Amino acid sequence: MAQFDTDEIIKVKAGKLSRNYKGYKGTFATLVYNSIHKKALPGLYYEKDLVIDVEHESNTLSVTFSGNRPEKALMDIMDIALENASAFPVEAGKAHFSINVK
Amino acid sequence: MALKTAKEYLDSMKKLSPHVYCGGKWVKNLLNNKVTRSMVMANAEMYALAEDPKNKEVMVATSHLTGEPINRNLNVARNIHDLDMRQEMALLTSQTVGTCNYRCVGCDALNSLAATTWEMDRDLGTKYNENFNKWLKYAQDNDLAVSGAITDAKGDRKKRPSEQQEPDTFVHLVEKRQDGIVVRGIKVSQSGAIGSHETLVLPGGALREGEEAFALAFAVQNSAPGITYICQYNAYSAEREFCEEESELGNPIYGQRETSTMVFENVFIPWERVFLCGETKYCGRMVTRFAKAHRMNCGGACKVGFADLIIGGTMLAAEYIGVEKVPHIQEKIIDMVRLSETSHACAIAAAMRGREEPKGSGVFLPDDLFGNAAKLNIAHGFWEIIKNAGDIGGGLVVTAPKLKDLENPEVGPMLKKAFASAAPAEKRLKVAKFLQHWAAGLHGAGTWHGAGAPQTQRFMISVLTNFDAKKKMAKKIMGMKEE
Repeated sequence: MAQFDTDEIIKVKAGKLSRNYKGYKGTFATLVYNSIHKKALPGLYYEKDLVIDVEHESNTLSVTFSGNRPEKALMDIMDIALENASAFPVEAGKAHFSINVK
Repeated sequence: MALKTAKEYLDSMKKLSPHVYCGGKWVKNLLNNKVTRSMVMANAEMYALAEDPKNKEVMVATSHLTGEPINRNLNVARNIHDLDMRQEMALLTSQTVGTCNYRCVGCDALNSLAATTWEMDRDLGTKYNENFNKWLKYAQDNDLAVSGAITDAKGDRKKRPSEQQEPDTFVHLVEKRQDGIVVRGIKVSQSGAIGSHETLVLPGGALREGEEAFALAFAVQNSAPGITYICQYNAYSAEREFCEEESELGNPIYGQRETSTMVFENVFIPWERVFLCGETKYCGRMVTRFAKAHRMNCGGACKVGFADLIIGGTMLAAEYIGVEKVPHIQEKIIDMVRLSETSHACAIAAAMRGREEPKGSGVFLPDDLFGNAAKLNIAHGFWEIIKNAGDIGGGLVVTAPKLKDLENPEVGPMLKKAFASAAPAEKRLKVAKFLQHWAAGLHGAGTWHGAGAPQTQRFMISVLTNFDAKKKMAKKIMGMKEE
């Protein structure tokens, strides 16, 4: 059987909370493009004006959401975005990319 | 994870938030809207069928990428048996839900992509097949529901894609970036993308040099920013939306066939999900290979499953009014079976005469002639079948009152008196509603156009048939000399 390197692991961090997600290659690029160019994230169309600031440097994306949201709420939003990008929570694995949300 | 359960699929749908508009409003949760829920429930049944050990041969295949068991909807056919089980899956799924297997177009699209990306990598040294196999492995590992979007809005048919006044009538490239591409445009009559994790987008037809911007094939996630789904809405949608109980409807759980207009507004697709970008020469082959698979499955076997349901309902309608032994009724039922099984036979023949295409790719596609014959036969046959259902079912198929009216203390006793026959009124009205779903529903025109309108099959049959050989045979028998 052929061996395929298909996955990328993304670490999502909000303050002290963090969680790893495994998606297909290109998932991080999708999140970067949409947060920078559309100020939007997958599956969150109904959250108007959610993304107010974005910084991107190589393998790290920093996103600031509108409102003063607690860490748990920030993680819940990113959980929706990641799952809607076909990336699912995983326990183990070294992260290739990280997303900081505040 | 190799195979998702129906429950796991439904749980995954609860987390998806596609941008869906249906019947005058935005749908935030697909499962809370009666119309969109019917589509999701049909897809859930595709997972449930694969869970049932008695369907294993038909619904479960072995991945050629990993050797693991996978849902057949994500399988690339590697031999005749795979093709045969694929068409049997189309039959089984239609018999089970009485509407679309919404993973069907995606399955046939991925078989076309497996063949055509392999050919492109061989001819052009591209990495499309590698990308496609990686994406497919990911889809198989997570047992994703994958739909397919093929038909562009097309605009003025006299004009080529690049000549259209509105460029968005065809999905096209907006920007080529280092990390991916940006696309926009409109696909129409798309089945089931709203309740699928991913959709495979293919070119809608053959393209020429100079039309590179329209030559695109890619996989996109359900809720990618920039995608809007505008659902079909019709009398059946309204009936479902406003009914008191779905049990009153012709197909209570799975509904009519749900499609949407899929609008792409500057949607980003990373290169890992791009399987063709600009190679116009391969678009015709990609679409033809898709059609080859889809005419055997959607065109042939799937509609045979619908016909089985219609024949069953029609026989019950005949029994409920005591005409099941009348000779002309029996003759019409036999005609329905003849029309239906002829298409099934063509679908089986298309599988059995399938072959590797292109040579060396390892991908098997059905025989073109039999696949087109299956589709063309059922396109016409289906109207005959629903005509006979309406004939035998009687005017009640379209004149029946609401089923719930039987429970009304004022009019219920009148209706029971009016419609009790060889069976109670409730049974008669129930089967009349079921037949209405078919005879006066969306499936007639749907069957006509699904997998391509009959004119496309006529064209393919004219290309694939050796008419000279037939004339020669006739001349030989007649003793006529060759000129």
